[in-house]
Amino acid sequence: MSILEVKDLSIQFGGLKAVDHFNLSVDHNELVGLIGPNGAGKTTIFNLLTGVYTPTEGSIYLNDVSTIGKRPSDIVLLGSSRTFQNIRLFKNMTVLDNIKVAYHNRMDYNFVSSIFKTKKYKIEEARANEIAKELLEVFDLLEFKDHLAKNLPYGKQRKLEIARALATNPQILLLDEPAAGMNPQETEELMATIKLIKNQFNVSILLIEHDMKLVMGICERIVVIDYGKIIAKGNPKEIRTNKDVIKAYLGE
Amino acid sequence: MRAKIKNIKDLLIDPRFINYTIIVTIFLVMFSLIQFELVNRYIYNLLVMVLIMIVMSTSLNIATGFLGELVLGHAGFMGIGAYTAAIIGIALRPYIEVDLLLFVVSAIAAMILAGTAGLLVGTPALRLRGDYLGIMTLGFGEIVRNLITNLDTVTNGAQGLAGIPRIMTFPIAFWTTVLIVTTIFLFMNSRHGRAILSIREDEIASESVGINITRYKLLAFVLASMFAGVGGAMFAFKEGFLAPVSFNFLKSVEIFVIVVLGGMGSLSGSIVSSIVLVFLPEYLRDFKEYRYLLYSAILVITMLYRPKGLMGTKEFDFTQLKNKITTFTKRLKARFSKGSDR
Amino acid sequence: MELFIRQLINGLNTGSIYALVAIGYTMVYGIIKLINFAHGEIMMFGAYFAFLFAFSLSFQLPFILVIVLSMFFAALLGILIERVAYKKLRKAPRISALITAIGMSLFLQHLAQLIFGATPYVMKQLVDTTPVTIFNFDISRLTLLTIGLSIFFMILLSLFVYKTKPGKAMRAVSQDKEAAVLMGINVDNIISLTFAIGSALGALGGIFYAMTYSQIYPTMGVLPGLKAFIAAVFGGIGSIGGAMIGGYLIGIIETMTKAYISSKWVDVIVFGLLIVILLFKPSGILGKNRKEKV
Repeated sequence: MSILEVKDLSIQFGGLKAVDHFNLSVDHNELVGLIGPNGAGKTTIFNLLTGVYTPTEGSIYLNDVSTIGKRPSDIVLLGSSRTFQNIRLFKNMTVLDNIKVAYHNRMDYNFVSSIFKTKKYKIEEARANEIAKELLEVFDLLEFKDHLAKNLPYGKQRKLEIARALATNPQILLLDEPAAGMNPQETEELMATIKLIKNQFNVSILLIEHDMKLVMGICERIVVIDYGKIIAKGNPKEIRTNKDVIKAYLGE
Repeated sequence: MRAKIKNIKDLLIDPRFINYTIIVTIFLVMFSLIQFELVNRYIYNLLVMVLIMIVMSTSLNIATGFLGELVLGHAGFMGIGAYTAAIIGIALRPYIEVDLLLFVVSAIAAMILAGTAGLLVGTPALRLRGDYLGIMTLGFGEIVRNLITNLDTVTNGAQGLAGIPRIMTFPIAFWTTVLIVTTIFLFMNSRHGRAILSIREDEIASESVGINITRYKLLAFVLASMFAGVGGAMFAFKEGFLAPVSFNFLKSVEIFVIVVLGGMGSLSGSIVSSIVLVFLPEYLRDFKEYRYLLYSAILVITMLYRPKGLMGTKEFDFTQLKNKITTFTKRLKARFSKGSDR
Repeated sequence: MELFIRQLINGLNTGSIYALVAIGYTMVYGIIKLINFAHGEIMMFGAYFAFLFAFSLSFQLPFILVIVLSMFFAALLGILIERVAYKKLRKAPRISALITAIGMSLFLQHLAQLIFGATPYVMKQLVDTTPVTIFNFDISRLTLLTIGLSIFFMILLSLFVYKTKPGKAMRAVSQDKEAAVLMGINVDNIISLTFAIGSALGALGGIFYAMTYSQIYPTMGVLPGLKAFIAAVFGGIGSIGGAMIGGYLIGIIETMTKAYISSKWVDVIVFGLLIVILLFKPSGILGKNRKEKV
């Protein structure tokens, strides 16, 4: 069964069709890459999938539930979660709190409980702490748990953002250029991390990336778009030799 | 999790115990100073005023410090609370003889009405951001003041509302303030508080991890206005007389300045700066003409050289203070023993 | 009908003042994205300058020279405020700059109070106020002068912004500061120039305001300042044309409310209008909508 089912997704800004009849289906625990030249509409697709933009046409189903017209925060509850091209952390909050914010909806105590510090409050907070720490452990961030997010080095900020996205317990994770700004060694590390989370957390991953080594190295399937349209689909090997793809990247 | 308290020694180092003890001690000291008439009427009034400003500034801190939205009409909510409490207080005085009960009843009414106003303004206003929200709340504050002036059948208009029972004693004011500040503190340390902080840090990211930002913005805004209503009620029962001019734009700015100077996002900062900014102008009375000039210059200079305010987003903690003293004495001892070795 | 036309003329009079002041708000906002709360105080200082030039010298200056000198000194004051208080905060969070502006506004009010005292000065008329009759309407010369001079300066400003090189530079800086620097524009000078022009026009508004209501006092800039700001928002903040339209609309709405509803409700209606605009079209009549990029 597919987790994400996108049909004929289109959006128009003024006269420009930024995304034009985009189709995609992502299966359970699959790792799909979305690539294309700059300005091809990749991030726009993410924004459509996460509810930041409303499509002018088409449908998006997440676990068989339509997400059209839903707010971004409600789409998260349906099981998708994302990172951003330019990292968006809660900079002046601690690393641990960054994770705990994402854990918000999985905690269950109300306003009154928090003021009277009821038993429920204590149990739920303790559980959140435990799970957040476990998650940080996976990403080698536990020793930084009390640091402010803004004080982490760049590569660790990227990791924290992915960890935060995972804390919402998603079934599909959308990563927007996770390797941007990383050196080859950091990228190498990131590839290992992505593989690890795919297996350990049993999620599907859709990622946008410019680093071809990363995309070709870990993606099972790749979708290439240009000018908002799909120009090729296939496994890394097929994509590498596809004429249209080469043309789109290198010009005529 | 906190360890179970088994004996007295554990109790003495329990941070909660330390904080409670210190609050009670402050109260007892102040209260006995008042009881033995070591504090004159003038200082007494200033003390109550400090407490009112603490309620006003910590409540504004929810919306401005923690949520990070510019609110320039906090005096409007204070005004709604003050007039509500005053009118109810005057009406119920013949039936309720106990001062505390009269205050509680009126303050709850003030809180509900100010909170409702917050809900009505906040629902549409919070779609706006930054400066625009600030201006919108400024406009709201001015409208409230004009309404109070114009609806003279209820509020006695510009002449002012007199005959409000003056029941705002130090103990009532003190414990009301403690109750409100503690509530805000505990709330901010819950998952709800974290959600609000995350909106200040990055609205889009906050939404992307499943926080319903509209709901939490509104919650923060309504809480801020509710507590401002209580602050207004305290003010009404302290003064015994209300005039619309007490709730003008300048009042909103004054509260705002306290929050900014104390540090946006620091409750203890707001408390310290309330104390300083209520007492300082009184002691600058001799320089009456220069007082506000100095006041505004301090504001500008703070922004230029210490934009995060006195405390930044940090909280002052008595238990930390104790730790600092311990390390300090340890260091002293180490130094001392080193010296004697030589 | 006669009452209506009379009120319309009054509205144009007040509107001219609001428009002049609103231009200062909108220009500064356009260029450094700051609501210059101290602008109302520049208006107030402009009026005090005019008073000093007109009545405290041993000889009588011609009216036009009084105006020009006051505008010049207000421009200097505007530049000074920007250099001292705002320049350092250009890259700081918006909220810090805004708080500084509020602080500056209070500072100037109390500075004026210290220098001139809290008691209002009576502004004697600087011009002949005998009414002129146009189409059977008696119109005060002051009203005609206010409307005429305001429109004259607004045309001058438009010519400057759209036809001259510094005007073009100004528009460039408001579009993109970094790019403007790369094009060799001295951004600091352009920002100073913007404050200078805005302050000079604000001072002119202040002088007319003082002559219309015959009084000058330290807090006289607060309310008209806020209203002019509403006018700027109404017209679309950042747009000079919008500020002019907004100014006249607010002026007319205000006088009409006074005439046909009640002067008690003027402020409630004007501030209510502000809220309505912000809710339904926060970008104003001529402004553009901007959305944050994800």
